[in-house]
Amino acid sequence: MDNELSALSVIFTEFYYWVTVVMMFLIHVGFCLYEVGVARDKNKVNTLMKNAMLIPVITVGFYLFGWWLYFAMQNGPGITGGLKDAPWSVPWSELMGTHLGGQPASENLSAEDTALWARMNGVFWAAFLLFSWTAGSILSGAVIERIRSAAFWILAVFVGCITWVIDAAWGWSDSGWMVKILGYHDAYASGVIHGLSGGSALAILLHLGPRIGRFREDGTPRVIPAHNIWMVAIGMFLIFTGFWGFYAACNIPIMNIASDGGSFFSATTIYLTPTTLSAITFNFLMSLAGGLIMGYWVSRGDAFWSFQGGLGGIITASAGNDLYHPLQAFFIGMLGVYCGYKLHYWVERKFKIDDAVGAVAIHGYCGSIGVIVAGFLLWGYPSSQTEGYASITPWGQICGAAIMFFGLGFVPCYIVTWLLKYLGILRIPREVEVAGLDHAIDQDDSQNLSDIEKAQRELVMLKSEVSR
Amino acid sequence: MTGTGSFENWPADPSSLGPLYPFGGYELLMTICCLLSFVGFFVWKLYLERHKYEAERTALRVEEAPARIERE
Repeated sequence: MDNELSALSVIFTEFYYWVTVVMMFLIHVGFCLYEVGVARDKNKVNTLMKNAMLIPVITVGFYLFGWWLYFAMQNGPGITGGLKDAPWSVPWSELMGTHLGGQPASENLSAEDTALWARMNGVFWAAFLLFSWTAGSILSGAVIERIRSAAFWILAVFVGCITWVIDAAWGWSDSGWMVKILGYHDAYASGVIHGLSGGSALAILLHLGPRIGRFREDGTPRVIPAHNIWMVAIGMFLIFTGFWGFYAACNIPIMNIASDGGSFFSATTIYLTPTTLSAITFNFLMSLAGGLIMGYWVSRGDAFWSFQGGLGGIITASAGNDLYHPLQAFFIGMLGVYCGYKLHYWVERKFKIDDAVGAVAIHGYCGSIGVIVAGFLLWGYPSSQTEGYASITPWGQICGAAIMFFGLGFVPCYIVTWLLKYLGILRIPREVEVAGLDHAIDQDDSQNLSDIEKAQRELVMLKSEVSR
Repeated sequence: MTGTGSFENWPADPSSLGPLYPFGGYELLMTICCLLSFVGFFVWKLYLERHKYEAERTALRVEEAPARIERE
C-alpha cells in the first residue's frame, strides 16, 4: 500500500470481491421469490420467513466459527497434517473488524498477515458467507410447507457453517487434502456446494416425509402446482444473475502465476490455477443454454423444469468451467439435466420422496455428475501449481463426489435430522399443516380487516346522521 | 471513559494504525455476548414454536369439532 500500483492491486481486489458479494445477494432474493412462488397460498409467509431468517443465523454462525473452520480444517485434520493456525479468522481477532493494517496488537499475528487480511478479511469472509447462505437455501426449497422453522435454521447453520465449510477446506482451497491427494478439481463448486447440499436435503427429506396428500394410496404422486409461476420465473432469473457473481467470486482476480521468478498476471481459480473471466463467461452462458434446452425438451416444455434445467446445466458444468471449451460446457449441461430430471422422478416414485422444488436433482445429482464428468474430461490436468499434488483423475473425482454427497452431505444431516425428529421438533403438526402454516396470520388479518370495515361503516353512518 | 484505543488523533502516517473500532481489547467479551445471543435466539424460537403450534392445534380441533359431530 506504499505505492500507487500495489495500492491499486490491493484495493481493486477488495472492490472486486465486494461487487461479487452484492451480485450474489441476488441469489438469495431469487431463492425467496422462487420458494414463495412454489409454496401454496396458505403457506407463503411462513415460507418467506423461514428462508429470509437463515440470513442472520448463518451470518452470525459463520462469523463465530465458520470462517475459522475453513482455514483450520484444510489438512483434515489428521490426513495431511494437523489443525492449521489461522489467527486472523477467529471471531475475537482484531482483523475480524475495522482495521487499517498497521502493527498488530496480538502476538499471534505477523505483519504480513495483518497487511493482507486487514483489507481482504471482510470481503473474503462475505464471499464465503454468501455461499453458505446458498447452501442453506438449497435445503430450504426442498422442505417447504411442513418443516418447523427452528429445526430448519439448526440444519441450515449445521450445513452452512460447518459441513459445507469443512468440504470447502478439504476440496476447495489451494492446500486442501483432497486437492493434494485426490487431485480434486471443482472450480465453481459443483460438488462442494451443490452436491453436498443436495445430499443433505435428501437426508432431511427421508426423515421429514412428504407433504400431506402428496402421494395417493397406490403410491403415485400428485402434483402440487406453484401458486405463482411469475414469482418462480423472476426468482430463477435472479438466481442466474447472482450465479454469475458467484462465478466471479470463485476466482482470484489478479495474481502473478509465473513460477520461474518472472511475472505473468492472470485471474486464477481458488486452486491458484489459471483461468480468465472471458473463459468462464463463455462457459457459464453455454452451460446455461444447454441446461435450458434440455430442461425444456425433457419436460416437454414445462416452465418450472425448463428454468430448473438452466440452473442444472450451469451446476453440472461448474466443476470444470475454468477449463472446458464452451461447446463441451453446453453438452455437459444437457447431460446433467437429462440425468437429474430422470433420477428425480425415479427416486420420487421409488422412495416416495417429496422434494418440493427438485433441489436434490438439480443440486445434488447434477452437481455430483458434474464432478465425475470433470474427472474424465480433465484427466491428467494438474490440480494445482504446487509441485507434488495429484493430477485430476476420474477416480479422484468419483471419490470426491462421494465424499461431498454422502460423506459430508447425506450422513451428517441424516444423524442431525434424526435427532430433531426424535426430540419432536422437526415437523409441523398435521392439523396446522392441513389448515396452512399461515392459518393464525390469515385469521388475524381477516379479523383486522373486518374491524376496519366495521369502523368505516360506523364512521359513514355517523357522518350521514350529522349531515341530516 | 472513551472508546479510542491506539490513537486519539488521525496520525500523519496512517500505516501505523491498526484497529479503528472502539473498545479494542474487549473482542473476546463481545464474542461471548454474541454467542449467548445466538444460542438464546434458538432457545427462544424453539420455545415459541412449541407453544404456538400446541395452541393452534387445540384451536383447530375446537373449530373442527361441530363439523365432525355433524358428520358423525
